[in-house]
Amino acid sequence: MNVSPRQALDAWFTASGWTPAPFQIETWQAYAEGRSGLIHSATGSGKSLAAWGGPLMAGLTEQTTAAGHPATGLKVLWITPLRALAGDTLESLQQAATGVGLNWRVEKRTGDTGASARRRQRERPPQALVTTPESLALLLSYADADTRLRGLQAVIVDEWHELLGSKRGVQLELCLARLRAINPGLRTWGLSATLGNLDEAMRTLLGPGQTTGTLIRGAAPKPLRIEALLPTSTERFPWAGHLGTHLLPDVIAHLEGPGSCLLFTNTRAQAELWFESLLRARSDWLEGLGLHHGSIDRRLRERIEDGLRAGDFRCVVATSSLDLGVDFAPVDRVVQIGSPKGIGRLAQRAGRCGHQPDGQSGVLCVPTHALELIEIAAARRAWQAGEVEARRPLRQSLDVLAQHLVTLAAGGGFDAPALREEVRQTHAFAELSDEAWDWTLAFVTHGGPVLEAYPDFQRVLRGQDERYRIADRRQASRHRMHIGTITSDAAIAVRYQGGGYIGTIEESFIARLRSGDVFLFGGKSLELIRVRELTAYVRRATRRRQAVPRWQGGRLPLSSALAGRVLELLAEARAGDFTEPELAAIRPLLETQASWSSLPCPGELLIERTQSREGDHLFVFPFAGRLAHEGLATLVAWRLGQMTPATYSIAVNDYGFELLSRDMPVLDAATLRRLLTTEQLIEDLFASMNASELARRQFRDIARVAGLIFQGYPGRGKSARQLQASSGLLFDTISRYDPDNRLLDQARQEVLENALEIRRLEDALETMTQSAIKLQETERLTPLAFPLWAERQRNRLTTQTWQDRVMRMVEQLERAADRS
Amino acid sequence: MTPLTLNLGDHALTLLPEGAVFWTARRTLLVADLHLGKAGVFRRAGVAIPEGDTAQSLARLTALIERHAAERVILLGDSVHASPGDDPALIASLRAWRHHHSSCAMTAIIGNHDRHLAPVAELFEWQIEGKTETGLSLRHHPPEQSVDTPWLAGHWHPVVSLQGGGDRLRLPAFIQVGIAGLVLPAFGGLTGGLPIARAHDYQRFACAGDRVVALDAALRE
Repeated sequence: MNVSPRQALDAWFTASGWTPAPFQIETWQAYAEGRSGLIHSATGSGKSLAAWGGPLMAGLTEQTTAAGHPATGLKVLWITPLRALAGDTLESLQQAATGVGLNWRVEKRTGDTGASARRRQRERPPQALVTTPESLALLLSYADADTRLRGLQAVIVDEWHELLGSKRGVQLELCLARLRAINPGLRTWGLSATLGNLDEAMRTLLGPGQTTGTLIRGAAPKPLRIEALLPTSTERFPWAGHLGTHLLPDVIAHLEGPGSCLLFTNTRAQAELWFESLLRARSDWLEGLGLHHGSIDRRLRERIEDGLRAGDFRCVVATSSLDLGVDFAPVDRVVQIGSPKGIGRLAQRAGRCGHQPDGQSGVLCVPTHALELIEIAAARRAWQAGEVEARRPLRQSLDVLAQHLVTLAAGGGFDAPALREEVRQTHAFAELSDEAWDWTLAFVTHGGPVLEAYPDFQRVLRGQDERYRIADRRQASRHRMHIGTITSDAAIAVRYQGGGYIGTIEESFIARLRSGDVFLFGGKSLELIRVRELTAYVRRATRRRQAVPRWQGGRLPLSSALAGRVLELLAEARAGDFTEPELAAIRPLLETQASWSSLPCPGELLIERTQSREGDHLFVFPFAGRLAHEGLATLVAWRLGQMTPATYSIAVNDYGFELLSRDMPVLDAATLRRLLTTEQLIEDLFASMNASELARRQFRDIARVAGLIFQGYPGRGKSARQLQASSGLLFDTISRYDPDNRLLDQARQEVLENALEIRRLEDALETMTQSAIKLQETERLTPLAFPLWAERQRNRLTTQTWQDRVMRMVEQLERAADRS
Repeated sequence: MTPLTLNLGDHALTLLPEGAVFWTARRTLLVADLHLGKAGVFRRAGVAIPEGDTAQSLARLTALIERHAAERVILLGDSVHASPGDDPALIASLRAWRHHHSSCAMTAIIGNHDRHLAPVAELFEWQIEGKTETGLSLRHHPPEQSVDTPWLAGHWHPVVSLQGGGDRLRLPAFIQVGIAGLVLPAFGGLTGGLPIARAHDYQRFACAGDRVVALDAALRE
């Protein structure tokens, strides 16, 4: 009967057919010593049990001391980024607890948890609770939060890399600081996939005050084979936008084999198109094809996930909605459509694939245009070199802080000086100034300094005991409905006229359609009947599709790690080295580029200038990703305009940007240097772009998080209507009557960081300053310039005329290339 | 300022770039959808919005009354955003403003937002929509079916989006519906807008800074 906790755990491992891995034992020891830390290890290597073992053993020790009586009160919080994940996690945690003989209940609490389950959890709290950052914040918004969470021993944050770098991460940092204040001995452990900045990830999770974090490196990533589907012939003039379905026959051939496949696309539109194309080509696969993306009804998605677990599918077409979280047995093949854009992302997707006979898991990348072949080779190189992107944590998000203050006010209330110091224990607010704190506090109490004169606003009140509490129950319940930092475009439900629910779609897409228009959604051709009160009523269309929804997102820039490798590969081609099969496959393209202009290489900035009937084209190739290029292009156009007034059209992609004008001044290297200087960068950027318009759009998220947007209570639509105002309108009103509002500053800062990737833009300018400028006058569009030209046409023309026009241009250029 | 004159039935109406109509023959100024006190409604619900808009809207209206020497003002509905009884500051500023224009007659059509009007009942001659004055029907809601009597209304908060050269603009607009109807833009500042696309029986007039611009080719003349 004298079994030590470790022996019990080992026995359960043995009974399950496993042996504890060294990194798991290391974590258990660190936990036993009361330490916190971060575990990173390959998917499926036992990260969860590494983190769970410590609390289990601590629980067994207590159980022995208490002579077998179950522990009372919550001991462990397990935070997961996806509520879809909570069910699977709960099962495996409970299994392990029962397996080692620990008398613990593991339960979950997410947005889906019903009222009766919540009540039960209140009366008889489980020892371990699986929850999301939002539900944790919600727990803190109840008056007895402190009592209920006292006694908590550990918080384990699963998939921390998914939260890091987002406002959800900031929200969790704040909640963790609160939990540590309630329980000073609290241990925090994070689980993460490989990141370029693991140390920073750990410091962010544990808070800057914690200096003794333990970084545990687990199993090395599985060997990964990154291969490209090499087309038999490649175009010399690539253009992004036709969605790569010309490789459909090859992909189908790849799917023919036995076993299951996941086909990942970068956008939901692409997923819809591939699903439809596969279905049309192989109607006999009807039962074995699935479609999974974030806009599809959750129940449909769950059905697909269950099918994946059961092995019912030959192929599921998915977006990042299946990147993480959903737990199912590895599939036999993973296909990536289009450039992976980032190494971490490709590795995560490839991790869905089980071992193949050679002991590697593999991913087949399908280029949607010729230049993407280089990106695929670049991803392989970077992966082999162990290079992965970093995710930078956010700082000073006052909107999240404001929300947190109201949350705590609704909970037990707070003492301002103490909370200020507590908040400064987080990475996000370590450098929070007194002024910013005072402003945020004023914002949640009387709406900010400007609103002080208007007593009609009440949200948080300071009591006579100096404690801040929520004004009334109505405010508290309203706030609870708005907790969270995930925002999306106004979603329109898509339903059949008979009532069947299909999914949600962004309002901006539906707004462009008229009754009778046909669009592709959820793998179906649907005809729009009418839109009424946030619902689009549709019927099955008999005609073929006309429009594919373009959802927001999906225009991810090429990561700088990948962009660097692309440049390196181009330099190899320039030196005549075509060893990489992908480079060999597009050799004609690269040679045409070299002979008409030049191939880019590190240390040299390629600029091409071409004349056409449209005017003067200037193509610049900094390889800094599309977002930074957007900023650069606008900046250069504006600076050019300061020299000679003219109008410029702009196009950007991940490699460079194009400026087009009827009257472009003569440009020599010295002038170009002046256009690309880092001096006055921020001033010029704000002057050049309609930055206030961008900030106005950015304000949407901020207004929602900070509680400026009222979404009403479910079922009380009518009275909520009085309180509807778009975030743009709020932005205008606040800019006009309260210009010092710090949320406006935050919007501008977020525009710089998110919309323009300001750091990357600065780095790119810095690199360009140190590079030699290679200015090429070219007779016609080169293979690198062509995709930019095509991109600009796309912004001007409707889809059909755009494709026709691009095809005509391709033919002309191909003829010219054949002659030369 | 460059206004634009439009004939509705037998009446010559001047569309002002400020988003108001001046009915010259009757020296009457018409505006729609002031939504006064809206910021206060938000604040009472716990949404931190600064004040300023109510005062600004009233000041803009004062400027128009004085510039055109209007003898009468007609508000085409939704003059207040919600029950004014909850907002003593709003009642006070409305009273003061009305007193300042005591020589001016003021009619207010009752819109869907104008409810519980007792505290401001004596300030305006409140009138249900659809009454006709010398052949011009004064409404808040544009009629759902086409009617023969010329009418003026608000309610839509019409705006137009203009695009060109990578730039986008949203401007308040007057919408002429058929030949007989005219929808006014919202005059209040905190009102948002409904984008109105080109349609065969609409003629759109955008309020572009200091002028009113006709956007669509003239309808059948």
